[in-house]
Amino acid sequence: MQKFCVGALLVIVIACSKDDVTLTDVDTTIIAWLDTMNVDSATADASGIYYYATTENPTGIAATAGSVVSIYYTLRDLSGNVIASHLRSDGDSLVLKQGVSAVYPVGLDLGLAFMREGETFNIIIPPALGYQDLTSGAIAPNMISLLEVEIARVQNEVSVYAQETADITNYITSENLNDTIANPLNSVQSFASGVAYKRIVKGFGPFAVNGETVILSYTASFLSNTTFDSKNNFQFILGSTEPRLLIQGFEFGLSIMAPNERALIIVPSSQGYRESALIIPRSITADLIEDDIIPDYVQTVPPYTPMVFDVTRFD
Amino acid sequence: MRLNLVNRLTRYLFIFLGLVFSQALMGQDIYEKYNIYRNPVKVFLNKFSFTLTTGYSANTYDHKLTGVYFFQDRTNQYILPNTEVLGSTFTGYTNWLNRPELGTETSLENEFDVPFDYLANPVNNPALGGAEFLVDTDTTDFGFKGTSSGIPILLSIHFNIADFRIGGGFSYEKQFVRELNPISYADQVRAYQPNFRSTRYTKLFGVVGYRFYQFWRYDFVAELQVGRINAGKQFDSSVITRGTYTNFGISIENNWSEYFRVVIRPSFDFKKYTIDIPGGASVSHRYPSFFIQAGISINIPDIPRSPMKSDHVQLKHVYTNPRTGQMMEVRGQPIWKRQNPKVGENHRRLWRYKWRNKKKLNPY
Repeated sequence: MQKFCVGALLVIVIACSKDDVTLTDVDTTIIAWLDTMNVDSATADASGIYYYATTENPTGIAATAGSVVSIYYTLRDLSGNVIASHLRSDGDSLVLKQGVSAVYPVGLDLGLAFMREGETFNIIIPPALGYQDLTSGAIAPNMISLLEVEIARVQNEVSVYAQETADITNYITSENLNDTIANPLNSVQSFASGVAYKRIVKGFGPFAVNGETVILSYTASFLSNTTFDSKNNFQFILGSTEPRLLIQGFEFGLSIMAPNERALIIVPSSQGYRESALIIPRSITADLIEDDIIPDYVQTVPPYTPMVFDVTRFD
Repeated sequence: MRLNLVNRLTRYLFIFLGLVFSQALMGQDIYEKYNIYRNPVKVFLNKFSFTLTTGYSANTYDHKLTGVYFFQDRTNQYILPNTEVLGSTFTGYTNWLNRPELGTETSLENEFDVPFDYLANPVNNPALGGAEFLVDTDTTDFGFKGTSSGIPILLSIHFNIADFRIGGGFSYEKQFVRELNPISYADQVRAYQPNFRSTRYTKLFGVVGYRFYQFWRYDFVAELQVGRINAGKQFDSSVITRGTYTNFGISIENNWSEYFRVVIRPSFDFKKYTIDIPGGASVSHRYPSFFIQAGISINIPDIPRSPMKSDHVQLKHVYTNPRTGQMMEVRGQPIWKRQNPKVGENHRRLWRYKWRNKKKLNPY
């Protein structure tokens, strides 16, 4: 019995010490790298990330949880190899919602919480909060990531949705959707939710009610007229959670659609995929979907993106 | 054809009864010579052994799915004959282990892709795991397998002819069914959950055996049972085809006396059934079992105990009825003890020599 107890204790001690060694290895590597770079202002967060500012802006708006943050970034490994980047020279900033698990890697979401608008941070992300054992492109398994992030803007979600409403209005105008001669059949109906409905071919018959099977074809595009999805004979049960509901705006549009009717349903992101998720770098999105880390729609719909569905209902 | 079969069975019956009576009448000479009475019914019944055993069974349900689509979503598992064309929805059958039933209509679309609803906190959301899985089982090796346990009770009767035995019996088994695990895609497919927790099986069988080895008071008998098996109401017998089952076992019998034995019987069942799925497919299930059973086997004594309370004769002996003068053979031992013991046999071991006392030099 005594031998058993000693043996069990030894196993526990070894197991515990092994974890400690692993954790220390990562921390040691990061700390050694910071020494090499002569960085003495880095902060170690309890979560495991390290961060330090390269540009500070104490008066900037803080990137609090729930705020919509626009960023530029450069992703490197600790050897300095650039793995991916999105800089001002590449165009508009990338948008994400901070603090709601809508960002990958997770360490970036954690690091942004310490930043303000106009600031640039270097965030050092351990594998557990980064890419773990993912192998994709230049990302090596269990890589320690160095993410240089600049926050270009911090907004609240309401202002983002307001901008979307303006974008949808501009789209309706630019596409002449209210011109019933150039684009029959009716002018656009706008609803309080932000959804806009443009009837193209009039249908006949009762509207679908919850529990009714609806068959339709659709083509989905963004306001830029870039098509990202289409389905023929798509069949589902209206209002059914089996397997899941449709996005609110799409389901609402279908509920006011008669059989054999064709219409454009313009869905703002508040009735669609909202913040979706921002994946850095974007090239690993398919791998994350395959590993059940993010939903499939993240591949096609960026954060805060209105959608236009050209729908024909058949039944 | 049927008449021939009846004639043949009748002939076998007469041969069997002839064997039984010839056995029963063998050795009657001494009884006739001295006019010693024995009840002829008991003498006849004495030639049969009655066995009652119970114990534990481990039953493996094993089936491979072929000719069907297998579909799993977050809550259900369905199969559908793959002769049907898949649309964007799937309405398959559940409970293909015992009672196929039509499931609810389910979408085959990717529930996390456009145009299905957005997911709050999408990164590392636990809801993302265990989503839909669809496979045509003709393209891969796919099925389920699991082990259940049961409690069998077996009652049999057999007639002994030298080292051979022939007979029949009845068996009842209460079986407790557990989940069946997938034989492939275990990282994506959940275990099959039967829609019942327990069921029963009854068997009616014939048995033949051969005593192939004897060791002191132990007999080792190879036995083969063949018979019909019926399952409980949890199984839909209208869509299930069950063949005969076969059981092979070794009966190890400790002969306490010529009338009484303690039996331990390990054995294996080999059996299967096929269940029809609406739409033309079927699923073949194997459910072999291992049994370990223990019990008793008795022969009804051909002679009674001595009616005289003062008769302390230990061996079988002749007793004369004082009123009728009729001689009859009687026993001096209960049935579970050696009937004609030698000196020292059948003496019970005293408590002071049992259990922890048996190692003591001086128990008291």
